[in-house]
Amino acid sequence: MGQEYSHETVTVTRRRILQGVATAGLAGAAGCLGGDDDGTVRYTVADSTDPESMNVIQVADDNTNARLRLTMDGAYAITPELNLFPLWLDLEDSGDATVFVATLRDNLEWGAGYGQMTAEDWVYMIQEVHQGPDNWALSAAAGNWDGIRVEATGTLEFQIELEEPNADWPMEPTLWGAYCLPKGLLEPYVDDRDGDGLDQDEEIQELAYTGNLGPYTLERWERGSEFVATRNDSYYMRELDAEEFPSFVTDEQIDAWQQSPNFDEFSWRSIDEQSTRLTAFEQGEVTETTVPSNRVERFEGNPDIDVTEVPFPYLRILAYNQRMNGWAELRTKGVRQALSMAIDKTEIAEAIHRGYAETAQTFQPAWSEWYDAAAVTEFGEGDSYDPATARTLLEDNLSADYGYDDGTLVGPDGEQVTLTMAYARGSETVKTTAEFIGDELASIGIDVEFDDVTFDRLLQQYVRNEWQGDDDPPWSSGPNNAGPRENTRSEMDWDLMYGNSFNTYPRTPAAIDAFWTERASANYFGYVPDADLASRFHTVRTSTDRSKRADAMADIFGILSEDQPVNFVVMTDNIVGYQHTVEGPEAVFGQEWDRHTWKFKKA
Amino acid sequence: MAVYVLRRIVWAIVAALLILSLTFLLLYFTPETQLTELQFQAAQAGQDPNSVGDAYERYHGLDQPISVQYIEFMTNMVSLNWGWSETRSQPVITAMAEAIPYSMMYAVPSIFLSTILGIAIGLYSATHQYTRGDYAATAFAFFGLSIPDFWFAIVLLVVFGGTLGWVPILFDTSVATVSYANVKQLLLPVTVLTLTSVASLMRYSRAEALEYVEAAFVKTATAKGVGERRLLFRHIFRPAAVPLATILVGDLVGIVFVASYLIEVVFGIPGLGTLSYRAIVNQDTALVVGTVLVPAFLTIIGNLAQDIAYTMLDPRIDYSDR
Repeated sequence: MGQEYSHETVTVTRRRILQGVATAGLAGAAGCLGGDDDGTVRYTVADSTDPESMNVIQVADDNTNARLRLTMDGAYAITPELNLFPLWLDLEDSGDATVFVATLRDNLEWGAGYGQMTAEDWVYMIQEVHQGPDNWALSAAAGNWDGIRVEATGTLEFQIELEEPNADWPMEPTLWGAYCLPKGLLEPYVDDRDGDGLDQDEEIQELAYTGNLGPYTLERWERGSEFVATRNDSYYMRELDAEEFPSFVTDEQIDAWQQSPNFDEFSWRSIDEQSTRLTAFEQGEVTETTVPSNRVERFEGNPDIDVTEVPFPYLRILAYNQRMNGWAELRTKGVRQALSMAIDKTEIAEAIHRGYAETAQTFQPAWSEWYDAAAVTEFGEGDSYDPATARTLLEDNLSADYGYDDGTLVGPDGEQVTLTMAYARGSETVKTTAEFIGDELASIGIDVEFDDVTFDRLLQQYVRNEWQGDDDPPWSSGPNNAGPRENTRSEMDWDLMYGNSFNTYPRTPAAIDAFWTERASANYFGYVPDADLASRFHTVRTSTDRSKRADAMADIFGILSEDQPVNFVVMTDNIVGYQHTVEGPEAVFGQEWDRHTWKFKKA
Repeated sequence: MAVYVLRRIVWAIVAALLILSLTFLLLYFTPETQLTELQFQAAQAGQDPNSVGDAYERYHGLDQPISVQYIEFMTNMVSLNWGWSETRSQPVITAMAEAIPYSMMYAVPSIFLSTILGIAIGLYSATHQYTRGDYAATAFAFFGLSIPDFWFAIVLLVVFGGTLGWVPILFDTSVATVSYANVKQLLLPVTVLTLTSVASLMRYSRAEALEYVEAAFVKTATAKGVGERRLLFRHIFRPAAVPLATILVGDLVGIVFVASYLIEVVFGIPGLGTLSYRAIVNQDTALVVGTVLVPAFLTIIGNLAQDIAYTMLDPRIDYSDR
């Protein structure tokens, strides 16, 4: 804990109570300095989640990774300036973006007697686990390693050969941040293809093999409560000489890495109840926590707390169902444009998200280096928010049997057009935004009905779709895009769906092709682009010419913004609160790459 | 009596097997939400959702026929191999064994306190009906019953933990069970839980005791000069305790497995409530089954214990002919 409590009896007086209120901040300061009576410097992060497993093979969630990252660095980090910062290994492109060479540091030691980390460990893990038959270990990275050849070319060097050139590959989450396990630990399970056994291995779950591979060593994992790691004095980064750091790193940063970590103990607390978490943060029992946008005001003016807005690459969309059980008119681009034009995104960002969100116009944040404002067509922001023009656009693009009757949009049956909007319950901002969108569409004569369901049900009954034809589908891209939109439908009918957030991959934008081609596996809304987006994505993936790739990406983002396959609504910020004494965090995307060098300001 | 107890035990086993079979069928026909999410994540990452689905089903044995899955499920349950918690990476039994002490830390003192206080205040109210003390106790009971646990817990935490700083806000699992620090951090959870339980128990005790306060045998005892204390405990409390025993068993299960959801979530105590809450939220099927079955089994055992307790409390109840 970051704060000790006196065992002395406390006398209650009015002054004492007032002091308690006024000096709550001082208590916070004491906590954030992290110095307990025993002299231990502690850093405590609180969130509502708990890690699920220490089995690095199956881990795919950020929350668990954040804990694992304390005990193991992983292959390399990416700085906010998009430089590759070598941790366990250095990665080099051999020249054509097809063959990459990974060189391990020579001072990496496994724990539990597994010796030095070598290239053989990596190649064995990739070939036998990630690329193992039938994915017997249920590797979360299996899909990433599909079709990639790896080969050990030395004790500390291995080569990675891609099927086709991909200049972005180092930025993709295949090797970036990847972990490895000792060959000796894996072997018995590989021989028996025993995935359960491997998952339940004590050395795996207790992280006994992490040796000097991370700045901390797992002290205890109290499931449902706390993950505590203590300073690892044999951390390999502490042994590095200045010349072993890349040239873009400053002397100050080198020094910081050589001194890292700066905390004796790093703990990650799981606290479900938001008010408990925030009160503990306010009192200094917690050093860092995320702050919901509607609670930021509580910390404004508090000199002991800094609240930062970190750009977040996830985008909230309003999906338009273009499959057979959606409103058929949504297949017309002009209709989708009209709906998007009638929804005020600025109001959503400023009023509902209280300014902690940015409006979006395409599937990429404006701060991405691939974003080209000149190529993007705007809807629902500034002059492009125009309900009157939206009504005209609707009239021009709807089928002939639709029309306005005294401000109400009337369908072929003579009744007002009513659309069903599905959204996942549980988030106040999602609910409010859905209702706001309903009001906005009412202003162009459309009635909206809501289906608020749990996220599981949303995926199961609204996102997943099935082929309805008698014969086999001509193609299928899995349960979320089961075939051509004319003959596929989800279990429940819906027209609009709000609240799903998707990664826009600002570092590797070609990865968004999972959504925006007719056969894309995540195209659950049934978008069929008129333009040939697939070939443009192929250019971005395979070309080594930076400007050619940038042009193709600008094209794609421009087409998406004009087509409005979905309404690109807002990108929410990640709001993180720190005790004022924390030194290190920056309000930029990817700020955590050097978390292990963060420290407390000197008192 | 022995035959009756034996028959009850056999019925308890049959009931348990029925519960297990029903649970299996429910699980079998419930959509695999974890698989759905995995496939959706895979789709977003540009991977093949179908191969992810196949690997998942093979890994978890879901590609086996229903009969094979049923036999494996029942065998595991009977042999106390209740599966592996996917969200905690430990056996379900271990997860529950780790969580139970944390729940007991506040539930046991709370049950103890609420039983003594509830019955004592209830008896006082019954024997002092319509006095100021009775009205005060009634007001206290209605306050305890009507105030939402969840809200009250947050208020106490903000006032005593946040504003006054008398108790820690975060529950610390590293402190010794028998220590001042532990008592301090359990103070608020025990208070909240006790307040709710004592209120309901007090009202039941009062109502039950009132039945006997005016009873003929109590009046006779009074006329014979029986002392007030003996009158209260032997002639009023003893007959009133029979129906109260039912409430006590219900309270025990209720407090540990129902009220604890709210208390533990607010105070961040990693007990059974948090375990069960997270298991449900995270769709950890094996853990959900475990946390649901234990209260079910406890209820069966509790009912049995309660029936036996009747015979001890009231000699007029006899199961020898059943």
